[in-house]
Amino acid sequence: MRTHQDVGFTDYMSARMPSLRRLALLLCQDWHRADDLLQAAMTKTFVHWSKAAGAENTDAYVRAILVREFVQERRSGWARRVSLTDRPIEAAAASADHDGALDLRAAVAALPPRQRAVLVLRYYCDLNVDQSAHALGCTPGTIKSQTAKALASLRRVIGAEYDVLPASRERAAVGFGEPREVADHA
Amino acid sequence: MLEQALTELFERQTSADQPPMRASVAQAASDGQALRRRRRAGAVVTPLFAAGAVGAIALAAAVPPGHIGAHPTGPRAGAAAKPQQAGLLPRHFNPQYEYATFGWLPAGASFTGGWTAPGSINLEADSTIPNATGSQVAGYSWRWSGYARGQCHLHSAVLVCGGQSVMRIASGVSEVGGKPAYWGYGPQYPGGPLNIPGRLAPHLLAYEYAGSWATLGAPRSGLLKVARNIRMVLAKIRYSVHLAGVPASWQIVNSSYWPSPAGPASYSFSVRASATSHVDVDMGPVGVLPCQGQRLVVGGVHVLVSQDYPAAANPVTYTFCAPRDHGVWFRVNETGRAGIGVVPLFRSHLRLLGLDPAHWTTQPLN
Repeated sequence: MRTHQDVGFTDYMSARMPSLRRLALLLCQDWHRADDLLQAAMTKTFVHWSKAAGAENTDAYVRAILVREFVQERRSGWARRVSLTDRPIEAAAASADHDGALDLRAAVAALPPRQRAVLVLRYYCDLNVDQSAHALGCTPGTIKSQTAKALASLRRVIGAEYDVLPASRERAAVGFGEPREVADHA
Repeated sequence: MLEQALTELFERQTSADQPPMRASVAQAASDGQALRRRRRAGAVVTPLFAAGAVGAIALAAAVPPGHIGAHPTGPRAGAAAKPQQAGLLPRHFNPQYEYATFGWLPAGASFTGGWTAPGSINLEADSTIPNATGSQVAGYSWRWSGYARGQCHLHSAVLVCGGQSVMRIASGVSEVGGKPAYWGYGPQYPGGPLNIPGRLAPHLLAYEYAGSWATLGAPRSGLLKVARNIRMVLAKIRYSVHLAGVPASWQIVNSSYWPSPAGPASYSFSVRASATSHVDVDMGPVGVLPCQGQRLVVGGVHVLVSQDYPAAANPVTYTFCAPRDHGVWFRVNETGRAGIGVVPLFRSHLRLLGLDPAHWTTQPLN
């Protein structure tokens, strides 16, 4: 038997599905996996709907469910399958991109899930550090470090194409130096 | 600037043509209601793919006597999977074994690997298709799952396994192996290319199998034949690393593997180190590396080490990569306090066994 709250869930989710689906796509980098993620997140939202509906910002609450579901799910063995063939299999392109954008897209897709999530939250959802930390359930310090690591990783892969800083200043900025022998790091 | 390029990339990706939506609000509400009822009834919900594998996981031996041999000391070339008599699926799968394989696949499809966890086993096959420029792009995929006995039940046209809805029955009844089979929809829909022909649209089949249940998501053409030709096997998985001198309580909780001439070979597995910590081991080809961090040299090996800043509410994760050894990147990721840091683990406990699965070990711990 459907309650009034359940009707509220249906109305809310029907209106938000398109935007949540786009967010899921950027996290998963694949439409079909995005739909799987969206389905799982919607189910969780339903279970916690009374809390979500009563939250100060329902959109932020639901977005946090989706993003955390993504990060959790990507840890599973199924999601971590890696092909060891020499020839990379690229996902079907929906639009024509020049080579630089394809490199950047591939580099983003290869990031660890949490780093990719941070970039999506910061540069697509346009969330600040605190808002991103709430979405991921971590500290602002972690958001800052994950952002820096993700950007540094992208720069190493695609080169300095998108930056104006000279490469030497950039290496100093992110704190990487020459390798050193370590006795015990832990 | 890179940040602006990222924003533009994300805008382009989200404004491109979208395939038909597969997610359903109505199904989410229905699944959510079922989940609420189970929680109210006090049922223990154990997600099949629990992140982090926190908590005790029973790894009761599901392997018949005679299949657990002495620790292997060298390669066994051509080790083939032992076909197992058709019987019952166990109540707990041993994550160090492969239990099933595809007996038949459509032309162009190939078995790409599987995954074993205590509650379920999974197989995947993929095909590629040429795009307009002639390069290969991801084509169709076939995803088969078998569930440990006692994990599943059918309730109100919903198949629930391990406390999660895996399929909603939509229509019709077929048969697989003389047992009823149902067509439906669920989160196990496989991926496929855009604009696929209707007769090749993905379908999901759930059927009773070996005393339990199995599901198969695949293009409709040939799906029943694929399901009817799943073969039970029993083969030890070979692992690319060996961890010596780790606590006896450490246990492998899931393994991903791919088919090799030497049998199932694992490039990714998780070890439960304690109730709140685990160690993940991954490897892959050198290319776009998923590794980043501070460059160090450990025992003469160039590595990258990163760690999240400790956060009160979250476990610390250390990631360690060896990007140049053996032509692959190799990553050890420790979440929580496993008792052995990733760098000491690499330096003192871990041995890389090279690229040839014939030289890998079936006993990766101690």
